[in-house]
Amino acid sequence: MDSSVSSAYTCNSCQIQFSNSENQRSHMKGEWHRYNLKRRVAQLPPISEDLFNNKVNTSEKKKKEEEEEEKSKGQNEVDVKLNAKQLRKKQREELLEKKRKLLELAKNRLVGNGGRVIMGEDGKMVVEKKEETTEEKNLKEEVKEAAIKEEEENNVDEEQLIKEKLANKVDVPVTKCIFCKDEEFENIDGTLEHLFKNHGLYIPEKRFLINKEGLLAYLYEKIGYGNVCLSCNFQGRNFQSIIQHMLSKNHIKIPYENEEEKLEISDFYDFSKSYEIETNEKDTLDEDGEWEDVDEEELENDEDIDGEKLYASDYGLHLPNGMVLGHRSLAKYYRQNLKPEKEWSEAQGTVMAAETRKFVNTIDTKAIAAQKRVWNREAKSRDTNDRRAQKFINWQPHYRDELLQ
Amino acid sequence: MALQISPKDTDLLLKQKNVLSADVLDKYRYAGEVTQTCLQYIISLINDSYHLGKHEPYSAAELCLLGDSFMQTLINGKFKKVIEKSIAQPVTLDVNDLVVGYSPELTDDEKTNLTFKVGDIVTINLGCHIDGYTSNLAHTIVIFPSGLTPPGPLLGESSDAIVASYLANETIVTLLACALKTEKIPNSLLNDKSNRQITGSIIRNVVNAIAESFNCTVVPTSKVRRIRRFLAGQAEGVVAERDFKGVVWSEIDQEKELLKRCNFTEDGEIISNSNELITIDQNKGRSIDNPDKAIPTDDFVILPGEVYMIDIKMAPINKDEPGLYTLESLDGKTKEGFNAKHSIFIRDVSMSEQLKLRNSRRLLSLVDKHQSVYPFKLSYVSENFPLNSKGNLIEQLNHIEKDVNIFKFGLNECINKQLFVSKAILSCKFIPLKEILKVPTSTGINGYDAANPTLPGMELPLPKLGITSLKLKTLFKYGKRTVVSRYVSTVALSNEVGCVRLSGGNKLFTPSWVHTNYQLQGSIAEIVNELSALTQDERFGIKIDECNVLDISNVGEEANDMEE
Repeated sequence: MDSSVSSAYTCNSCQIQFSNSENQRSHMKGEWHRYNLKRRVAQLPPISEDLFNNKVNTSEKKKKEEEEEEKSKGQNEVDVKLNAKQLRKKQREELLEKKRKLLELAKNRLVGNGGRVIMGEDGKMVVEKKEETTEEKNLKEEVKEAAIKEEEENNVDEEQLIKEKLANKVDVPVTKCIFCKDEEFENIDGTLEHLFKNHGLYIPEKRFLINKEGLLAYLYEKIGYGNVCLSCNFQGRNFQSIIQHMLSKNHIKIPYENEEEKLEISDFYDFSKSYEIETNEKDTLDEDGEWEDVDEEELENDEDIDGEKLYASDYGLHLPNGMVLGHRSLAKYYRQNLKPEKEWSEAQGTVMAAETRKFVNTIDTKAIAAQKRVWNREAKSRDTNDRRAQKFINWQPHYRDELLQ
Repeated sequence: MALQISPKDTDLLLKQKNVLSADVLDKYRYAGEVTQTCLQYIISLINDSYHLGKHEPYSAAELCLLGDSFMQTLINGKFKKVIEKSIAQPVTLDVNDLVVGYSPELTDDEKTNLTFKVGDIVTINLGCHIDGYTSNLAHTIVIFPSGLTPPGPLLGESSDAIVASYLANETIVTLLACALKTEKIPNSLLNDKSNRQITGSIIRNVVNAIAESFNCTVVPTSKVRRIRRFLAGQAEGVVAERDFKGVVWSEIDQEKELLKRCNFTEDGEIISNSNELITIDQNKGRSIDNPDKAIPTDDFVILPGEVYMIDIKMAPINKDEPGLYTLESLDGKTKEGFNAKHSIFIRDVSMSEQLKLRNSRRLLSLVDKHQSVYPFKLSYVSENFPLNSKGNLIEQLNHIEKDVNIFKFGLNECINKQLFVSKAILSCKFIPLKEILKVPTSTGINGYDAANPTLPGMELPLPKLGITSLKLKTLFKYGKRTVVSRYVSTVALSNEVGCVRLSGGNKLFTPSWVHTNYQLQGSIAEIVNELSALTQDERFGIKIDECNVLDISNVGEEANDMEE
C-alpha cells in the first residue's frame, strides 16, 4: 500500500487505516467503531476487532442464559408479574374491544338492511328493522356480564379499603395530644391549651363553642381514622404519614374562612347567643317606640363600619380615619410625615361637644359611604379589566416574526 | 374634620356628668372653698399693705401672682386623684374703669403694672375648677387712706355702682334659691300666679329695676348664666356652646332704653322722631334660627339641679347726657394713656400647627401639658409655680420673671397661628348718643369685629341704629371712662341639699364702707326686702348654705416671707 494513499483514509479512534473511502465509511457505521469511540471518550485505549467480537459473543451468551433462566422459572410467575393493575387494564381493554365490535355489528345490521325507509300507510316513516344475529346477542351478554363483574370488583375494593382503614384506625383519647401522645392531660382544656401553645391549633369562635369534646374527637377521628389533613385535605397513606405531613407543613390548623369550612364544624357551636344580643337591642328600641328612626341609624352605623375598613389602592393604604399612607414607591416624589392621632382630654372633649359655631357642617356619613362604594366599584372593575387584558395579551402559542414571513 | 364627638360621648359629657350628685357637689364645694379662701387671702394682702401699712404696697402683678400661687397650692391639696383641676380664672384686679382681664405679669413696667391709689375701686376676680366643676368669684373693694379704720365712707358715683351691683347680686342669689321652693317666690314678681317659676325675664327685670333706682346701668357682658362641667363661660365668643341658658346684658338692651328716652326729648340736637331713628332692623329679611340654642334668650326657666354663675357689673349713669355704656378692648399697643398688655390666654384646641421657633414649640408643649380649656397666664407654666413657701421667695419670683421673659419670645407665634387666643382687657366707656348718631354706616351692618368675639346673636351691638362693633370702635375717641363695680358668685341648686352658695356671701366678705344718695324705689324695694327677709330665717324662709374658708395654717406663710 502506498503510504501517501494509505494515510488518506484512517480511523483515529480505532487506530487503523483503509485503502479507500468506501471501507472507511462502512467502518464508521459499524458497532466496533462506535464502541471504540465510547472508549476514547472515556479515555481508554482502543481495542482490536477480534477482541471486540469476542466481547460481543460472550455478552450475548450471558444474555441468552439469563433469558433462559427466567423462562425456566415458570409460567405462573409471569402471570403474577402482570400485577393486578395491568390485569384490570387488560380486562377493560378487552371489554372496550367487545363494545366496539357490538357497535359495528349493529351498524352493519342497519346498513345491511339498506337503511330502508318505508313510508307507512298512515304517512309515517318507518325504518325497517333487521333481526339481531346470534353473534350480536352473545356479545351483548358478555358485555353485560363484564360490566357487572367490574362493579362487583369495585365494591369489593371499597369494602376492603374500609376494612383496612378500620384495622389501621388509631384511637387517641381527647385527653392526649395526637401529635405528641406521651403527655396525658387532666381534662380537655389542658389538651386544647397544649395544642394551642405547642402546635398552634387555634379554635375559631371559642365564645360560641359548646361541644369541645365533640370537636376535638371529630378532629382526632379525621386524622386518626380518615388520615386526612385538617387544612389541605391531603390523604395520608397511614396515620404516621399524615402526622408527618401535618407537622412538617405546619398544617395543624382548622380552616375557617368560607361557608363550607364553617359548616363542617358548625355542629359543635351554638351561635344563638349572638342573635340574642341583637334581639335584645331591638326590644329596647321597641319600647322607645322609635322603630324606624333607630333602624335607619343602625343601617348607617353598619355602613360606617364597612367604610371604616382598611383598603389599599395603587398609591397607598387608606386608613379608617381617612388618612392615606403613601406607597413606598412614591417616596421619591414626596416624603410623608403623618401626625399621630391626638387623644383629647375630657375637658377638650366637653368643649368640642358643646361647640356649635365651628363644626356646624357635620359630615354626611351616608353620602361619604355611598361615594366610597362607587369608588370601590370603579377600582374593582378597573382591576378585573386589567387582569383580563393581561390574560389575553398573547394568543400565539409560539413567537413568529411577521416581517420574516 | 376629626374634631367630632360621638352622640354617645356628648350625652355622657354634657348631661350625665352634670347631674348634681353628692360626689359632684363635693367637688363644687371644694372649688368654692378654694375661691373663698383665696379671696380672703388677697383681701388680707391688700389690707396689710395698703390700709395697715405693714409693708410697702404690693403692685397688681405681685398680688395676682401671689393669689394665683396660693390658689394653685390649695387646688393641689385635695382630690389628688382628679387629673384635671386648675385655676379657672386667673386672679385679675380690675381697677376703676377696667371690667375684666387686668392681670399684669411681673415683667410689666411701671406704666402697665399699677399700684392702687386711695379712692380706687378694685374688683378682685378669680375662679378655680376641680374636675371641671367650676366656682367663680368677684368682689369689689375700695382702697381707703391707710389707717386701722377708714376715716369715712366712699361717696359719689362709684359708691352707687358698688351698692347696686352688690344688692343685685345678693337678690339674684336668693331668687335662684327660690327655684327650689317655688312657693316662696314673691307674688309681685310673677305675671302668672298659677305658674310659679323663675324665668330669665324675671331676673332681667329685677336687675334692671335695682340698677335704675341707683342711677346705674348694667354694663354689657353682665350675665346670669347656667354653668356646666368645663363650660363656665371661660371662652365665650371663642366657643359658642349649645344649650346656652342665661340672661345676658348687651348694648342692644341699652339701645332700646335710649330710643325710648329719645321719644320724649324735646332737645333740638337729638332727633326726636323715633320713626326716623329706627331705620335698620337686623331681624328684617333674616331668619334667625337657633337650633342648638346657642343664642341667649330670656325665655328659660331655672330648674333645680343646675349651677348658676351670677356676674353683675354696674356703671353709674351720666344724668345730663344720654349715651351708650360700652366696652373698649385694650390692646397694649397704643401709647396714649393707660393701656395694659394682654396677659391671659386660652388654648384653642381645634387649631394645630407646626411652629417654627424653638421657644414657641416649647411654650406650646408646656401649655398642652399643664393647661386645658381654661384661661392661663405665662407664669403658670414656669417650673417655680406655684411658689414654695419654704424656699427663698425673692429667688423664686426672679426665676418666674425670667421664665416669663423667655416664654414671651414664643408667645407671638402661638398667637399669630391662632393656637392661643388672648383674653381681652375691657374698659368701660361712655359714648354720647349724639356722636353715635353722627357716624355714617357706609359698610352696612354685616361687618363684625373678629378680634373681639361676642356671644352668638350679639355680633351687632346696635341693631336698630345699624352700627357695627367696628364702627363703634371708631367712636371710642369721644368716649369717657366710667368706673364699674362687679360682683360674681356661683350658686348650686341641689334638690337634696338645697341651695349651696359656692362663692361670695356677706358672712365672709362684708362690702366696703360706701354711702349712696339713692334708695330702692317703688315695687323693687318691696321685692328686695321680701327676698332678704327670706334669707334671714331658715325655718320659714330659704336656707342658703355658704361655703366657708379652708384652714390655711400651713399655706399662708408666703405673705410673711414677702415682708422681709
